[in-house]
Amino acid sequence: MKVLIIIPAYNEELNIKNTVEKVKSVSKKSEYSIDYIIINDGSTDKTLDICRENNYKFISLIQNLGIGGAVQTGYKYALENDYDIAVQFDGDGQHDENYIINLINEIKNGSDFVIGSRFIKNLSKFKSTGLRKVGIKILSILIKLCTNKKIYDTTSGFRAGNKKVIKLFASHYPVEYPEPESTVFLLRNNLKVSEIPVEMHERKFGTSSIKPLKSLYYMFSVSISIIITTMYKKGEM
Amino acid sequence: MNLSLKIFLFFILLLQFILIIYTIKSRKISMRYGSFWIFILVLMCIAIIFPNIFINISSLFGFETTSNMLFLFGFFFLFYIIFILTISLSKQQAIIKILIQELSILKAKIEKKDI
Repeated sequence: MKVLIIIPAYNEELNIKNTVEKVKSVSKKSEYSIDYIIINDGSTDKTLDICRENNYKFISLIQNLGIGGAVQTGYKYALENDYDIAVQFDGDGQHDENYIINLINEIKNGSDFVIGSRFIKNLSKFKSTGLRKVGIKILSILIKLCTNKKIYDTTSGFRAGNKKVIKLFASHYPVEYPEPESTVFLLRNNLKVSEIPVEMHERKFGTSSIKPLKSLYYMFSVSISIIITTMYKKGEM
Repeated sequence: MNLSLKIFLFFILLLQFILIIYTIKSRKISMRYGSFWIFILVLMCIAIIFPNIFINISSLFGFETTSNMLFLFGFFFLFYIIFILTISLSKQQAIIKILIQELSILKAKIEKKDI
């Protein structure tokens, strides 16, 4: 069972070392063979230097592509190197490494795609700010309407997929705010998507890449993308 | 339409024409799109020489004035052109994204072999 942990990082000089060391410690403890790959999304700070100095495994995008383009690069790498499972794990320290194994186990139990969720079983003390929670809820209702499947944490970037998912995502992955749309894309392809509880933390350093002013337009365009993705017929995508 | 107006419009069209030919020749625009703009210019020439065609069409459709019709269709035309441009832009972005990804993966592989 070959597992790849995809760590997208954009200007994460303060967090990246911590994140990678945590992932490495998980990989040592685990029975599976767990590799990681950092996708440096054209950072303008010292992220790349830190990766070089510490001899980390990384792919450095020659231009900034945005989170979607970076994560997809990881899936392409996973496909090329024949990994069985790919796990998305943010470089900003928000995700808790102890749950990586839970995601992997859930896939071994038969799910094609697992989402680490802040909103089931209340494990996570840090959830989100008020308005963003409302947004996540609205997207959740919309996805339920479109696909008849309840996804609680629609914007979680802590996710894992099996070979089918790797293949699909390597060829199709949204560029901006990709999580909800890509989940609907998998559901439309009749993959089995499940959700397990995870803990998330507030980011230690730096600011999140999502700006509050843009969020209203974000809600609009993500809703449109969900509806349009639902309109594809199977095999058409 | 009086003669001096016609001459003035032809003069402007001529300048446009020279601009387009020059742009195609210096390869700043591809033949495919260049010929499209020349086609548009030819249509405009016809409109200047035989303005009656447009006057008749507009009264046939029931426009109050011919200029109303020209503005409306001109607007539709521009809207359509911009729409086509955004399609082409999206295509370019998708292609560039793939190029950046594949090149970066390749670069990482080569760097790894060097070590």
